[in-house]
Amino acid sequence: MTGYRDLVEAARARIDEIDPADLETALGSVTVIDVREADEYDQGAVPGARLVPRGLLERDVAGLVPDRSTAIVVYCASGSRSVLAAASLQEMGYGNVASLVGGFERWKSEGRAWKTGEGLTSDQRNRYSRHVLLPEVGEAGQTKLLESRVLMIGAGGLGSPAAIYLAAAGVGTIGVVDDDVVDSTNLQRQILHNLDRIGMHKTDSARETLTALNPDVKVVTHTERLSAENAIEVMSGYDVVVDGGDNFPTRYLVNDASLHLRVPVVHGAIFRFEGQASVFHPYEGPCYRCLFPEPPPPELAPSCAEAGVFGVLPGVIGSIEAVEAIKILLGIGETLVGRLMIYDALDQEFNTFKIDRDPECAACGDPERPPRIVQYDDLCLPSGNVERSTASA
Amino acid sequence: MATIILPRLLGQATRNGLRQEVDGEDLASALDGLFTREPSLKAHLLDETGSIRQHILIFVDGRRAQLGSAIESSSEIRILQAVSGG
Repeated sequence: MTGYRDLVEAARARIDEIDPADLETALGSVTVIDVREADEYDQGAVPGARLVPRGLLERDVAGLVPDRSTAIVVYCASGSRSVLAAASLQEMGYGNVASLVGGFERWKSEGRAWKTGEGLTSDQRNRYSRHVLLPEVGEAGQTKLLESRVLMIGAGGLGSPAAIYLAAAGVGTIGVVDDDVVDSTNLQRQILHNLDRIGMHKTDSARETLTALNPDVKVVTHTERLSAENAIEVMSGYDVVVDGGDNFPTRYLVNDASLHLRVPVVHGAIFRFEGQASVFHPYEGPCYRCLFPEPPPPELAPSCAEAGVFGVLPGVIGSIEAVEAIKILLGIGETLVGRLMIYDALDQEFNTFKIDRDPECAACGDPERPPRIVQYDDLCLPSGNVERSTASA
Repeated sequence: MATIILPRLLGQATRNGLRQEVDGEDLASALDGLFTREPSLKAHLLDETGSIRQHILIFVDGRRAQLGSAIESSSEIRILQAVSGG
């Protein structure tokens, strides 16, 4: 009868092994996989090692290492389980796999550097496992998301899908600004809310939905209308602002306050069957006023309440806003800074246009003099230049 | 002839659809041709001084354009408008 030891020794004969000293030299140029259990990993691990417990290795490794020519070192506690893991990876077609001799115990006993777990609990590691598998996210990225703060301007059509995806993704703090209450006409598109919440403040409804989805998320409610008086205070302390507002005055207010706070704004706007999205990163790309120095006169700008909106449309644009917010937080990919994306639901067509910063922009043209925060009560802004402050608020 | 593509928001101000063929050597002359057919569009796109309104963006072949921007017969002129719905 073949025993565990026999299996290990048979596998050892088929695979390569690497000494701790050689692995230490190779760190950074090889993918290191820790095949122990999560609680063992939490106690300490080789720097840069990715946790994939032995029992999940065959299932999950392709997500972590799609290229089968990648150099991989696997390790366990003492160097037995990792031998079987390496043999299995070899059978799966990974051609450059080695097992760490003596495992983590020897690594540690030789005085080599090691790290403790990156902050995810066992439950979190399971909840966010599909993120952790992505090299662009990993445990470090997921931990970063949990430590991040995003402010939602509005808990309506755009804010609903954006907030739900950000909460599901594990963004640790989500602020929600809205002074409105839920009514039945919202439910055609505002998926944060439901029939039982009619009459409830949208901020409270959003908190119930988001914390039910993910208890890791702290929801901070700002049940008030964003104004010149409170914009700086409300928007302070957030890493990203997601604009899902439903009126021009708020959009200009968000833009101007973001220039003071130097916080990036993920922009989304919708009308009937068409939507727009961009990212306004203060002084790194154009701001909202670089694109639209002034809003349309009221007679040329009917609201969604007057003209209607296709219910699924904010689902598309709000989800794009969530994507951009997470990319900014993680520092991955190419964001929509300097690009305006438009979407036409009837033609099912996306188009993206390059947009430049306006060096003469009344708001962001002079970084030393951001615009003075003023309240616009209707769609008409004063003609001419925006007033500048003498110092940041 | 160049093609002008209008946002759906302006659909009610047009009689000939959201995609229209226009002649012109520059954006200003192309828009003049459009306004001949669609006179009510002029107030939507240009202000009282004849400048492009501040809430309107016009791209020619993917690049932000001004009234003096050159137009070719194969050009695509895309007009966008600020919207605020959320």
